[in-house]
Amino acid sequence: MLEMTDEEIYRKYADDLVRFATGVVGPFDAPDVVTDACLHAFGGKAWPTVTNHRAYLYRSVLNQARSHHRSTLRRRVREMRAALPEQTGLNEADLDVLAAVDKLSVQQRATVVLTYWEDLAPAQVAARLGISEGSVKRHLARARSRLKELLDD
Amino acid sequence: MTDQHDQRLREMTFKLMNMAPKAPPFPETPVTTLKPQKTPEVQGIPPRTRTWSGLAVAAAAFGLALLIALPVVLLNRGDTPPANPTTTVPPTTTLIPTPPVATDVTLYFLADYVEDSNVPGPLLVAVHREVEVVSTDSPPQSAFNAMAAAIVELLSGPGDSDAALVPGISTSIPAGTELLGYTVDNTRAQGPGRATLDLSADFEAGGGSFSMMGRLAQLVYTATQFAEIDEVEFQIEGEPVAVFSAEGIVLDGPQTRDDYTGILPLILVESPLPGAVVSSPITIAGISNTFEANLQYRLETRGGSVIASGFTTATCGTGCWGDYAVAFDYGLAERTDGYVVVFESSAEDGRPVNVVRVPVVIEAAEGATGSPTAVFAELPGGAPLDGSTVVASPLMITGRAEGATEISVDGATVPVTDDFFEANVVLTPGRNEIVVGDGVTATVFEVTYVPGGTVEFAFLRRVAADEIAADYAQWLTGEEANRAAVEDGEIAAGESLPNDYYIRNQNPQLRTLPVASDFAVMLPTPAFGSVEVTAVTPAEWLAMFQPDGSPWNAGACDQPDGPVCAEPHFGYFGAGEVGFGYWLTLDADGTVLQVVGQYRP
Repeated sequence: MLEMTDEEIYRKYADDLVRFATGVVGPFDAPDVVTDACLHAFGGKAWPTVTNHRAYLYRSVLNQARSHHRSTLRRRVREMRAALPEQTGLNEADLDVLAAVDKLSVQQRATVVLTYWEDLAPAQVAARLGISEGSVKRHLARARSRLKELLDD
Repeated sequence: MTDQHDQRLREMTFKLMNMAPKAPPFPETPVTTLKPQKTPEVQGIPPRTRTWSGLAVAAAAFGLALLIALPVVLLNRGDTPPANPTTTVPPTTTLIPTPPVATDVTLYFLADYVEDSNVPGPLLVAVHREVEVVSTDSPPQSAFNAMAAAIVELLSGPGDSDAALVPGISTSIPAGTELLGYTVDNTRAQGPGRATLDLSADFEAGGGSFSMMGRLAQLVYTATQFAEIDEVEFQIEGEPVAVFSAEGIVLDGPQTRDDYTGILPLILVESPLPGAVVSSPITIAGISNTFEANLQYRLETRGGSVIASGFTTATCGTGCWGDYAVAFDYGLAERTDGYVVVFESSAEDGRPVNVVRVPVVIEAAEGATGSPTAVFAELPGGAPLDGSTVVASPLMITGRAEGATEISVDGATVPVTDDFFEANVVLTPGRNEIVVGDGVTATVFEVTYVPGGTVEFAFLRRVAADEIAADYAQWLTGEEANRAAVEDGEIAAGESLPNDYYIRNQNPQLRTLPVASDFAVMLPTPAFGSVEVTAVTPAEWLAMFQPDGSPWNAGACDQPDGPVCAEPHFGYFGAGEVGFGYWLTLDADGTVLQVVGQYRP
């Protein structure tokens, strides 16, 4: 069986990982989080024994996202609001979404992304994140309640 | 939850995910790529010395716009004003103006400063300079800005303070040479980072091949001090240079440090720099090409009294250039002026040659030569010796003492072999002070011995300020781990575990353990490539278990009305349990005295 190089593996999943990271830390920091996570993963002792690269890298990105400073997103949204849309490429509605996402914890964002973007059932989300199904449902409930304002209008 | 909420949440998620940017290039090294401040085709505008800022760019552009607008307005004075405003201010690339930040850089000049030098004539010398640099959120971008500021400073030549520290300091770069522009290629992911420097025609003025090599070397070394830049290409007035100056120096390709070793003293010291204030531990680092890569160093007072000394080895020698870096402690009662001296012992007669003397200010410090540079014991979880609680005596201590042949451990003299020593220390119940030293200066380790105590490896299901609910498990390593993993069906017979550990948790029984009021907590902090164990206060540790939406332990912890348990986020991909396992040190009554988190690779 032909083995893929780290670079080939990276290229295969990079876009997905950046998209996942966007859901978890926002678009501005997603590339850095993915780069850092992949560097840690590729350089780690466990990497040569990993068979499910996709899952491993997803978890690496999630772990990396957790240590990411959350206040960055809030500040960026403030900056973006002060700037002109032509410069940032984001409209008011987009910024509202980012501001809302900032209210959620990393775990909640991850749960939301896996549930609504990847359309996974709670049991699958639980397996992917290493938590219980009950936790998944709790996270979604909390996410919805924190976003009530945005979702209600 | 309503269907409408669900649908809205889905829409919101889609909006968010569609903001995703393109994936970054494959990360090859722990250094990210540099981006030029403007578009790649446009050269950077050289910074004004000490006043470089993003605002200056906008101001310059605006000023230019005004310059165009002004004559039109003047011409029309008294007439109707011009129909349209002539130009608008181009948008700046930074959204929020960032004030410049004082940054330390190294500049490379020339001086005849090496005593008993095997290489004659003025040679490259490194000095310190503080420049003002626009800092950004991106470290590579900040390094790019710092490089430009450093080059501009270099072009302005050595100052009076440099001359006071390095007598006879000079520069080969003609006065008046200007940096017209610079770019850095965004190629680090595919190869070396390359800076292209565009210099004014003055750069080629004058003569003498040494002077020409010298000026090129000064620029190359100054530019490549940043990890992101490996090589330099030169342009004169916008034209790439293939043959430099009337001396006809051929520049075949980008220039690196290796191309200019002829200007180096056989020992170049890049840290500390002349005039630096040094404190213990002190690091000496640089480039060298000495016999068998051996280097000696001394820390001396102005009058020549030796405070500390030792030796080290560079990565290459005897005809090839290598790097060296050595850190050591020293002891000094009062701050004093002195020197860091680096030299080699001549292969012929052993006398000091290629002696580099760097003037420094030496801070007072505790410690002395021969002091142990590291002392540790095999404590579970990797807990540091000082401040730990142990349950067995005698305790085996090992350590490293560079440059010593023997060392005193707890009053007994112990031989040092290949810089390492080990000793068995008998402890008395309660607080022990283990003193390790050379008889002049001592390092003291406080260890508490609890006879009859035990150490257990456990997963924590619930933590509170006065008690812990623990699920004991087994932490196995080596052959035992492999055997158990095969028995449990985690790996096939004949396979071995990837990280030489295996956790077996067969008994889910929870034990509620009282916690001592002053119990100690140590947690592993994985840094890239290594793991450190650091102490946190019990309050800080408990705070990590507050709800942040990331409960790690399924099962017992996951009750809606139950107590909270969420562990720090260092998740690991082991079988079954996620989060830390902890080593609990218990006294004879089963009270928890110490908690050490076990790092799981």
